[in-house]
Amino acid sequence: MSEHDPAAGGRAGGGPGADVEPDLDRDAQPCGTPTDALLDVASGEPAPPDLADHAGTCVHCRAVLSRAEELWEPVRQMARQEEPPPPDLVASVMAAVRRLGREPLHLVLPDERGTTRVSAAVIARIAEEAARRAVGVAAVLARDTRAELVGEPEGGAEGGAGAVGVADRLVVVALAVVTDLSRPIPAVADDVRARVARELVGLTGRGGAQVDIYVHDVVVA
Amino acid sequence: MDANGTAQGDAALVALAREGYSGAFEELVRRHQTRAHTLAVRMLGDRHEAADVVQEAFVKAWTGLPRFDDRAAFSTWLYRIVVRESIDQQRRRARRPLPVEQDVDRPATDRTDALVEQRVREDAVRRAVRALPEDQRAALVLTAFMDLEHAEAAEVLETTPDAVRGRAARARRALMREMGEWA
Repeated sequence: MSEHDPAAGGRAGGGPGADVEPDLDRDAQPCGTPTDALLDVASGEPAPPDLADHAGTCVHCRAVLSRAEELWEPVRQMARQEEPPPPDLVASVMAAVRRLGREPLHLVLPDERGTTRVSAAVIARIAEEAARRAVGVAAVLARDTRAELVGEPEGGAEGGAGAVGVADRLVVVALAVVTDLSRPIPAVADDVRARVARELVGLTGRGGAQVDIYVHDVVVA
Repeated sequence: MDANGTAQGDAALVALAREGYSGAFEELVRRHQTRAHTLAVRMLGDRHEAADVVQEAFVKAWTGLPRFDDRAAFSTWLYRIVVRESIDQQRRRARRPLPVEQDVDRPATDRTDALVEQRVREDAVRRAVRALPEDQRAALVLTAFMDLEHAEAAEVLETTPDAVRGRAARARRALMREMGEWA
């Protein structure tokens, strides 16, 4: 190791770093070895061959290595320990998940001959297409919102743009709409609600639909 | 099951969970809860806060499942959420003193001098880790405590392996010097 001063090193007589007080705060040891390099080795990083050869005989390096390994030992011990989670963690998480109401991802259409389930994504798509036909709607932002498919079993729905839920016997849809300002916003909203509700009730046979609208943006011609 | 097998099993569970099968997600929680909790404890130095953070992280994972990139391992994605939640939590209580961890799990007769000393050292480690800058702390915890390779940690932290290597090295050096003050 060319940068080391052999004269500053020497052999430790009575064990690692004997008679040498390790100094971890200085940038380099008297032998020229960067202290950081020794700390890296003490914490488990592989030592470059020249450093390994030198440190084996240098009292300063051996003293620092010995001290640093001692300091690092609690970290090694903690790294071997796992921290058991609270026994009720799974139950708590799943209770929170159920409160979010994302479980009814399917609209269930019961029938004497079996059950038909319609994905919430399909409901969202139907609503999107219907809303897009309303006058005053420039765009409906529901395409990439499956992440926000949140249903509230007690009624109502919440979530981001295009959220869909199934509340008892009511289909709940939330849409983000971009309007072109060709009509007053309440009129656009009424039109969207009427079209979406008509389409959903017609296609699913459910008794009604709640359509929540978020006017997300406006385009000016 | 090896790591690869676990990852494949996770992928199937993720697919089912995305379809709304909460039972599949519950199995994911069971599989990963200990590692996620360990990560949060090491990031925060506080078990009570860690439990809250992990619960919140799993709930965010559930709501974010549709955005999950299938090319990544579920564990990588989950760790990313845990790290972010932990950092957010620490920012919220930035100036609050670190609570003293109570030795409640062991009977008093077992609290030997060696155990007390070990507790003191572990407490010094926790304090030193907590004092690290966020980016260094995350890199250190993932590599030194969670035993992730630099590439894996880089994926969790959305950076490069070299960046992780550098941050972890700076963190290790700072940690040892800080602990030297405590010892």
